[in-house]
Amino acid sequence: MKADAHRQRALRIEASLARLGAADWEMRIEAAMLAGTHWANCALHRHGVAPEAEDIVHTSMLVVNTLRKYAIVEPDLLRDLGEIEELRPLYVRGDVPGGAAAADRAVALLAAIRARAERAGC
Amino acid sequence: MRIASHLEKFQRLASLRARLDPLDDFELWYWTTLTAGTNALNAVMHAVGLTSDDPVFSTIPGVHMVRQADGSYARALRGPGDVSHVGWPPVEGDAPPDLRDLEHALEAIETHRDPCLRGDRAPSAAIVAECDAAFARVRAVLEGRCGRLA
Repeated sequence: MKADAHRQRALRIEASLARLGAADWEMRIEAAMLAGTHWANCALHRHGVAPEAEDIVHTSMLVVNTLRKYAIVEPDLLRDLGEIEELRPLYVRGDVPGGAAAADRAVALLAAIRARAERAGC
Repeated sequence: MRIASHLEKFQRLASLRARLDPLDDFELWYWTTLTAGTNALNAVMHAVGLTSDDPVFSTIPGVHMVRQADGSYARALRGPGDVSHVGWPPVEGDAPPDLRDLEHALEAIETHRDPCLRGDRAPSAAIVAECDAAFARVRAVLEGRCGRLA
């Protein structure tokens, strides 16, 4: 996808995320993952390190050396996205107590990811 | 994950799904539909005995998050538990017809995942209608196996 299309998709997801409440922790975490991944792709495309035909789906699914390459230009953004992804097994696919607080953390990480992506020109 | 937890999540997600606008909020409406459907799939697979409902949580196939003695969670190799998608990972055994119907319904929903969430396909009323019809089939199978849900 083109960088600007990622930005537009992330903004749509964030607008829907704003309508969710504390009891919707699974989708708040998933929204952070989905929007955060679009911001990450936008930033990587803007940096020129990833072509528009080469999008991340999950950082955990990347070849290690590809993740290392991307982390040269956006280490903090990718670390934050990885932290969101680590919340999913426990609170989205699992029933560990503390889902609402985990979702708050995911949304805070998303805000940091967006700020970094915008600094990259998104 | 335990069947009761899958059912609780299904009900909460189905309620959220009804609060979102299918087109204005398409991305999260769709993802809520898919996540609720996957919980239904796992509940029914546990109920028919194809997979275990051990309280461990799926990551990639064969690897689950397992509670440790100190209360933390760590990755561990495990046999078939919750699946993340239909056929991912594949599960051995014969699925009864109602489970196969649920799987086909979920696959119909999944068809729109990458084009609409990670690609440039615009959501449409036709896609929403297709997902709605498939989700009704998912709910019917789940309720047939696990009882009427609110």
